[in-house]
Amino acid sequence: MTATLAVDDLLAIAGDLWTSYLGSEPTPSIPGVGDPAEVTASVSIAGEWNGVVVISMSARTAQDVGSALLQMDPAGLEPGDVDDAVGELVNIVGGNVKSVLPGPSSLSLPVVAHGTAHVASRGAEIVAQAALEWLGQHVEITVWSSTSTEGATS
Amino acid sequence: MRALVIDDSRAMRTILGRILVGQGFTVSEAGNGQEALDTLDALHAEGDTPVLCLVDWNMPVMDGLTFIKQVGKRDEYRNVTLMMVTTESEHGNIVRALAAGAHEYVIKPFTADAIADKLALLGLVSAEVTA
Repeated sequence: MTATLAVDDLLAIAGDLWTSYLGSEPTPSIPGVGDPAEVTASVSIAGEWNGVVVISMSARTAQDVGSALLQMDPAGLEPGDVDDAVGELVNIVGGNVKSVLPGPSSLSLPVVAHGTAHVASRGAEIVAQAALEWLGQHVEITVWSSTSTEGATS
Repeated sequence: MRALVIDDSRAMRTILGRILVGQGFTVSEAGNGQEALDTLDALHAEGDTPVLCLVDWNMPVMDGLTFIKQVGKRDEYRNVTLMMVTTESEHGNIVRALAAGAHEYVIKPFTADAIADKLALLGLVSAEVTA
């Protein structure tokens, strides 16, 4: 099903999320200008609408997200904390994206990948893409639609 | 008062736990519905049954909706308040959760004040504590 999702929708969702849990609101940025994505988190939406919601950022940004979310010094983070925190971010963004797309549909558990990641879906196309600047760091949120979603990232 | 926070994300359990401690609760945690049922039973056996469970929806092993249905079948837990805290914001899912036995529903992202207000509405904390 064709769906409309505006960049402003993504920015509003991210703004609420960052303000609630990360202590400061991000500012809009330009996709593709930041550091290379080293950590990519994704959730799949399946049902009336099918696609993938992806958040990507540098490893340093991911560590800062974990530190801010857990309110801990980065040195005190336990193994898995960073992936857990980034995964929860994409879970919340994905749930809120799902709510503005045609339903009913279900949300997968988050998947976090390190290194270069790509969306592994046949016929995938970008529905909306937003970039954020947070504490001088770059975060990108991309929503892909697909007629055949096969997992999130690889 | 004891509360049980059920979420597969440690970060989210930490955020919710911090809010609940600020409201005067002693907090236990579980990472999925099955672990929560086991924890609930263990705490009940010790005479320390939680008065409140904050329940995520999407979790591995056993999801939050199944957990709520399971708790609803147990007479010993009839006084436990069940609050769904989830990204699932579709109207149909909210209705499903409330029909299954959830007493309240909070959509992520939430603020600490939003949780505190819900706790006051449920009579679990006084309005002064949340102010």
